[in-house]
Amino acid sequence: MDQENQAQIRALAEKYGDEELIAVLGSADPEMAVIAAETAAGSDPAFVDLFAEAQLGLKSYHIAELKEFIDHQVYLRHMEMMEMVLDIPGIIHEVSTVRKQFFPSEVSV
Amino acid sequence: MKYPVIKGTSYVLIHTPGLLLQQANLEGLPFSHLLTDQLRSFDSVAGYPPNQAFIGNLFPEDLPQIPRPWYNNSLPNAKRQGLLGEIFPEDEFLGLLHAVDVYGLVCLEAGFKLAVSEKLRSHPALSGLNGIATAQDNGCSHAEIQEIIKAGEALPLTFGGRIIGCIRKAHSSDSTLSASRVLENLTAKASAAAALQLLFRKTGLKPQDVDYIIETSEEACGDLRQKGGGSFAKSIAEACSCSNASGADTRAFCAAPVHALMQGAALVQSGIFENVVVVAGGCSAKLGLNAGIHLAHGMPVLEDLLGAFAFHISKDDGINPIVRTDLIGTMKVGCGDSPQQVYSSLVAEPLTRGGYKILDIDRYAAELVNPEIIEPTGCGDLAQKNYKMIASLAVLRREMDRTGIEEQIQRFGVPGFAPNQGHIPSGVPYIGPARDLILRNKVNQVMIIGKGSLFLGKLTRLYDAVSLIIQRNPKQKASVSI
Repeated sequence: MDQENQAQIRALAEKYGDEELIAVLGSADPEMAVIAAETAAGSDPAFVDLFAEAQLGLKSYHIAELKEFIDHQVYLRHMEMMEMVLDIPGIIHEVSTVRKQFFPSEVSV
Repeated sequence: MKYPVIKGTSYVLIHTPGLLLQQANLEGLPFSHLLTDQLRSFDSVAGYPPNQAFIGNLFPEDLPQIPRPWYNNSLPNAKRQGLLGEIFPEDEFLGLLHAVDVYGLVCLEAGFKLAVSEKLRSHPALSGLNGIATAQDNGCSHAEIQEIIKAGEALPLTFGGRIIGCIRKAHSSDSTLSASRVLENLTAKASAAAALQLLFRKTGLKPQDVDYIIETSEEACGDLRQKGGGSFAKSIAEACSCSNASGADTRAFCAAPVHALMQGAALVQSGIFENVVVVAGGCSAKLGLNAGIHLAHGMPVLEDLLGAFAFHISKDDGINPIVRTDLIGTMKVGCGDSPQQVYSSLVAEPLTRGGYKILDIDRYAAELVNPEIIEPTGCGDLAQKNYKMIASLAVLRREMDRTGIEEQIQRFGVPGFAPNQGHIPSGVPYIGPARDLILRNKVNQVMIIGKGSLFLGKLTRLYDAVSLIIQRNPKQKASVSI
């Protein structure tokens, strides 16, 4: 996630409050999902020294975790093929692990 | 329908460790002092298997048989010349930079200039370049160069760790004409000119027969009030003595080369022009892009190469592979950006229009960046990711069972082998091998996919993609060697 995107997310989080926002990820593999989730939750691990104060404080969910909240036809139109390609259980495991690490009191969806 | 053909291709790699260090210094990278130890020699660059594939001494399809890391498995007796292209060392590049500079902005030390001019004058492809054939200035003294650099008027140019010249800023206050921007733009021009000269050499196309040039790099040439005005195309045409040519630049980030091929094919098919060249030079700002990550992984700094290419599109000759201008795939503005929608629009839709299935294509070529360069960044193998999507789309369209995904990827997916130079790896490095295989009746049809990160310019959140199919000429009877 580039620095400009982080700045935008930080501005939104400050404007609306951490409790009103979640980050929805579309990362294609567990490793990238972890990086994005950690960035949204805390500081970007790639720029730890530079952005130590940049705590975004947002919980992340991968789009595949939110399937039940999305119209089934819309979900199929965008995600049916990706479900074949992605390691969905692996991604969900990794993203939820990051949530538990940063937000120990989180309630799973 | 009379389709245009791909009549010839050329590919150039230029080993530029000095430019890489210059770039690291310009960006103020904290590890720039560590880079020197991890720079590769020209011989190890020439023997690097993906580079041999880029210049046509190896098919990219053969790369997976060579054990990784490839930087520890140099090919023995590797040559700098290949069937499809050539690898150039940095001294020759600096000579080229001087040769294509028509404003006297590049100063080379007299002794260095003399030696490199001799090399370039004896090169079969480059000797014809304007500025090499014609005598220019005699060069500067070391003291003069040091003085210009010290005055803040120029950036140093180095070879083998030694300052052998400098590049001046082109305006006293306009930042779009600063020395670093002039260097970027002349780098793109010089490397593209080398590719065009090589195209002439390899195909027999005469400079005076070129009607139109489309340049497709990612640089912006202009001044304060028209920052991306251009035109690289006409400057390259001028440098290469294409006295009857006109031309213009096409920009679409990394997707530009495929857009330009489509445009060039359309110009030929419409009869507007007979001989169109699509050309692009390399990008100095991308040198050492992931150098910090490579250093952290104990790897050599692999992003030490500029890439360049040139393609000749002409009218149907009954031999060369055709461009199916009726089956262009695009990523329309309204198509959305989920991969399923993108690949449906880009791959499935044009194929369906032509009565083809996804599995009818012999090879797909997309995002052909060498995986060894980018895997350490956490991006994975970009080419393979594309092929996985395409295979999955074939499953979704009931062309095959999902158990066949891996086998189909092996069959149709061209492995990544190009330097990490943005527009350079974007599908088009496979046009040369594809033309060769099609002419030799080994392959019938290939889909080239270009993708571009439009969102980087902050005008849109869209990205872009365009595909075209290159197919065996229906009039081609026998196998032909290129």
